[in-house]
Amino acid sequence: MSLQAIRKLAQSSDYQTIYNRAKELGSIRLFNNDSDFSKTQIVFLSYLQMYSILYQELQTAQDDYLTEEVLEDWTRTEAYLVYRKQKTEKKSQNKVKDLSHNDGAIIFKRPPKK
Amino acid sequence: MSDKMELAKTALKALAELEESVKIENIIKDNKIEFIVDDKTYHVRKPNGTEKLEIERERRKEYLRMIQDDTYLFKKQWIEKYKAKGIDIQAKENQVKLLYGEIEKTLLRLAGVKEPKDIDMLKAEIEKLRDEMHGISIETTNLLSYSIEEQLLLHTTTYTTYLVFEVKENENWKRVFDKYENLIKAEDKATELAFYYINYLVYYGAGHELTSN
Repeated sequence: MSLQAIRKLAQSSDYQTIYNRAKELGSIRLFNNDSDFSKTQIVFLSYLQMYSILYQELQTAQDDYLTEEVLEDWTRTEAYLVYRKQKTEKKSQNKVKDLSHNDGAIIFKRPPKK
Repeated sequence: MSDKMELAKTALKALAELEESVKIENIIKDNKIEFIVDDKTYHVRKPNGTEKLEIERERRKEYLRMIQDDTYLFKKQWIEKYKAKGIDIQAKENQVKLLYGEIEKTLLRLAGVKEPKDIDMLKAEIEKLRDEMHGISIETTNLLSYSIEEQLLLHTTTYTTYLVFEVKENENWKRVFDKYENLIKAEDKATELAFYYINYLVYYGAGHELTSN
């Protein structure tokens, strides 16, 4: 049994629906147990979360590269995840650069008057 | 005829995938895994609080026994021994890191292409790099399999199996082996499956690393 099989199950529309409903309603159970998860359950949960985020990004067309075809191919999905990670890192580096342009000074703003 | 063969192959592949997905569903649905051998129902489950304490106690005892025995060596010591024999494990580990970096770079290139021909070429390149990386990793793992760290991991998993491997008798679950030593001697199908399934429930690798320092 492989990680690929766990990934495929997590990606399936059945489990994606259950996972998203469980998040919204809180009363739907994914497993028989509610705590003390097994190693495989933890791996499965992380894939459920990963695919849930990726499908949301696909729906909101966040990136040109992310397509239904990419999500059907694990190596291409991995490629997207690496690219996405690099993009996020660059963004946060730029934020740090922007902050350093203030000569390290922290700008305090007065709260708006009520 | 060849069309029929092709169809049969596709159907068989689909069946195998379905079977695997059913197996995975059985494994993920609970923190215990049930299986039947010769009409008897067995399961392995996650250890409870008392059992976790017992596992830690056993682990500590075994660790103490190993460090008092000169035939047991830590990974670092094995690495030195191998180096003296001309096998550089550190170099192999560095090579794995380099290959990992190379895979990340190729994945990034893959994220930037859309032509099927380029996609196939980069995917093949990634697969080749992965095969090479896995090959070296397996070789290193095998070379270090007698280290205290690996042997202790094995012992902890085996001891856990002894505690949580149970058979159903009159609606009650009963431990299959009354003694740890009996589990070690056993060679039946049910025990083999218990060892296989326990790895889907527990993992003692992370957070349990030991060092020779």
